[in-house]
Amino acid sequence: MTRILDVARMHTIAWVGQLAWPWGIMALSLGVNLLIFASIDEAAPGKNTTGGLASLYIVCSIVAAASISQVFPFALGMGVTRRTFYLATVLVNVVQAVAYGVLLYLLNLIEGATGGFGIELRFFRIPYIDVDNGLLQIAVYAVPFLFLNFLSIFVAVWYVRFGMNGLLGAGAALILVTGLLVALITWQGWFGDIWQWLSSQHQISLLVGWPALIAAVAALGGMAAIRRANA
Amino acid sequence: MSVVAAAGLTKRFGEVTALDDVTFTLTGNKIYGLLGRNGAGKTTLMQLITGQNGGISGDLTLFGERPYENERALSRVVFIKESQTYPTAYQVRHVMSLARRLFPNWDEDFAQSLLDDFDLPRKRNVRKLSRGMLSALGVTIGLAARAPLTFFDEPYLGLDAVARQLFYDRLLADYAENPRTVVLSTHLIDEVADLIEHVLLLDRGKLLLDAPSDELRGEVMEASGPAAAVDEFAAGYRVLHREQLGGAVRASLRGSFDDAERTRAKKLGIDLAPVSLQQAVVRLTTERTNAR
Repeated sequence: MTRILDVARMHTIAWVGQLAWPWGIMALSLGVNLLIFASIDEAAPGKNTTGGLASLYIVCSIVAAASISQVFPFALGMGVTRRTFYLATVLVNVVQAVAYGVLLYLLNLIEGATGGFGIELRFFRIPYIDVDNGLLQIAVYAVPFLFLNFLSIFVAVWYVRFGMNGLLGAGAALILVTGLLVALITWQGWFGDIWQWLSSQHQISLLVGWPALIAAVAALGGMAAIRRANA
Repeated sequence: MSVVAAAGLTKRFGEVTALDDVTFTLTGNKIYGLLGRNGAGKTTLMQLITGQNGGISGDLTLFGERPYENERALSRVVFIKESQTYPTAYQVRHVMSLARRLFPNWDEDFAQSLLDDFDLPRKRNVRKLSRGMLSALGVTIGLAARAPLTFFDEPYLGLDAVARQLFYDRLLADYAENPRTVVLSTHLIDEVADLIEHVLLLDRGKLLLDAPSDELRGEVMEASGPAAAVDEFAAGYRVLHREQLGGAVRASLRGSFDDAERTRAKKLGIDLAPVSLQQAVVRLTTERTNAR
C-alpha cells in the first residue's frame, strides 16, 4: 500500500498543472458567463442556465489521459510494476473525483445562497442534475469525473500499448460497430423502445448508476490492457 | 544466489530476433561491461531483466524470481537509460523526491552532493534541461539509488568529458564503499576499461563473449614482425585480424600466451603487444562479421 501511495505522488507532485488548468478554465468560463448574463437586461425565464461547467470535466479528462502517456513510461523506468502504477492511478482519480464533487457541491450552495451570484445564474445548479440530497448531489457531481476520466485513461492505455495504428484501428472499428448498430436499430424500428427505456429510468440511475457502471468497466479494461503494455 | 540468470533467453520482435539463445549468470558485487555494436541486443536484454518488456522464450530470473511485474525483485533494481522520459510538468526536485521514496537504499546526502557536482538546478523544469543535464539527472538517480543491481544504458549522452570522469569517479568510490552489481552498457569502451571487471559481449543477439576483462585482455594480443615469422607463430592461434604492409605483418591473435609462447615469439623476431579492451572487442566482433 505504501508503494501505491508513493507512486500516486507521481500524479500529484506537480499539482499546479493538475489543479490549475481544469479549475482555471472553469473559473474563466464562469467569469465569461457572469459577464454575459449580467449584460442581458432580462433573461427570458428558464434561459439563465449555462453548460460552462462541462469545461471542468473535459479538461480533467484530458489531464487524466496525458498523465498516462507521460507518467507511465517514467514509472516503468523507475522500476514500478504496471499493476502498482494502475492502482495508484485509479486511487488518484477516485479521490480526486470525490474531492471535486464536494467542492462543486459547496459552489452549488454558494450559488444558491447568493441568488445565482446576484443575477439568477445557474452555473452549478443546472436543472435535472440539481438534486435535493447533499450526499447525492456530491455523487452526481463526482461520477461524471469517473466516467470521463476512466474512459480517457482507457483510450490512453490503449494508445500506449498499441500505438497510433492501434488507436486509429480501434476508432475505426468503433465507428463501424456503432454505424451497424444504428442501422440495425433503425431497420428494426427500436428507437421508440430505447427512448422509452431511457425515460423510464430513475434520474439517479441515469446520473449516477449507469455512468458509474461504465466507468468501472472502463477502469477494469484499462487494467487488463496495461498489464502487457511496454513503455 | 545469482543476481541474474538467463538460460536459452530468446526475444523476437516479429521477424527480428533481438536475442538469440543467450545464456549467462551475473553474480553479486561486480562491475560488468555489457558491450556490443548498435542493434546487438544490449538494451533489449536490460529491458527484459528489468521487466520493461516481456514475451520471452527461455528462462530468465532476477534475484531468483521472474522479473516481469515482480514488485519485490524490481524494487532492488535501478535502470538508467539514455531514452528515459520525464513528465513535462516535473522539476528536478520532483524527480528526486519521487526517487527517494521508490528506492529502498536511497542515500539522500549522496544524491544532493551529486546534484551539486553536476550543477543541476533543483527547480529547473525537466523540459528545459539540456541533453547533458538530463543524463546527469539519470546518473544521479542511478548512483544515489544504491540498488543491489544497477544498470546504466549509455548514460553519458551529452555529458562532457569532465562530467563523464566525475561519473566514473563517483561510481568507483561509491562502489568501493557499497559493493553492488553494476552493469555498464557503453560504446566508450576505453573510457570504462579500468572499471569493468567482466565483459559480456553481444553481437546480433548472440552472446559472443562472457569473460573477466583481464582474461580477455591477456587472450588477445597483437603480433607484428616479418610475414613468414608471424604466420608461423600464428598457426597455433585464432587469427582475428591480419594486415600486411610489404614484408611486415600485423595480426591480432586469440589464444593463451604463456611464457613459452612469448619466448618463442621473441626468438622469431616477433613483437607481441597487448591490445586495449576496445581493440579486443572490435577485433572479436569484426572477425565474426567477416566469418559470416
